Amino acid sequence: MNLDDDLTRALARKSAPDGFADRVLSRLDTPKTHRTSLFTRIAAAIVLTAALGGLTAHQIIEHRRNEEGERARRELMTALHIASAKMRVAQRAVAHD
Amino acid sequence: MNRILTNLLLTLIAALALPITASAQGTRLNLDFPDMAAKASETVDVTLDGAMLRLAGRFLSSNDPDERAAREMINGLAGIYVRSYEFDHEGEYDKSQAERIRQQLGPTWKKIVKVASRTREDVDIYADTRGDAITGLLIISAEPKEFTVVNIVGPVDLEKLAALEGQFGIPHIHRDGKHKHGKDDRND
Repeated sequence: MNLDDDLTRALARKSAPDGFADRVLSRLDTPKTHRTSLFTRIAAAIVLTAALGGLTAHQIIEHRRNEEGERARRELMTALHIASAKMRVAQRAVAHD
Repeated sequence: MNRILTNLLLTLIAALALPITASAQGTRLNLDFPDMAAKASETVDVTLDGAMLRLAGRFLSSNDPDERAAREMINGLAGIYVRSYEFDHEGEYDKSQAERIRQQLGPTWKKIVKVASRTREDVDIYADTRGDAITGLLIISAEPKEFTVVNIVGPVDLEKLAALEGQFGIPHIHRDGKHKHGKDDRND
């Protein structure tokens, strides 16, 4: 019987202490405290900046190289067209001689 | 003291090695014509050294027959230099500029073609020859209103260059080996 009494007491409905709900709600509204150190945050920012910078620099270099290559290709084709046209003039003259 | 001697020795070796390297690859000629560029209505100025040729080669398409032929053509070349000037009026440029280029040609250069025309286009083609190999090419074209110089540095395969003409949609003209002027004429 003592056990029944103990259980009844233990499980009996009790009112929450005064201000409990307010305290819970206020805790919910409070932003979580970041526990990462300032050093870690700075290091992460540096790494991220370096990575983004490196990526951007790589893209710029690649873009410039592509532009340079395209320009070189066009110039080469122009040069060979001119050279071949002059060769044609000479060959025609040789053929007619 | 030893360091100075070593530096002197290295400089001497470099100085001796430079002409040997240059001779193996043909000669780049001075194609600067500042006066002509200033007077011309249109100018084409192409300067492609070995590195730029290799870069250009990487951008040539394998699907385009012209570009495929061009890739074969530039294989092994050390440079391609083109200057072409177009003028509004006849006689607007100094024809002695061609002579200035010819004066740069050393004893290894041989005239292989000369086309002379009073009214149209004069074309002179010179080859820098080492033994049987052609290690450079110079084309000088003088028209009443246009002056063009092409200098190709490196082993030039004339057959490939001739084939290139046909490849570029230009009719291929069969050569029977003879030249309009003496093949062995030199620097004239």
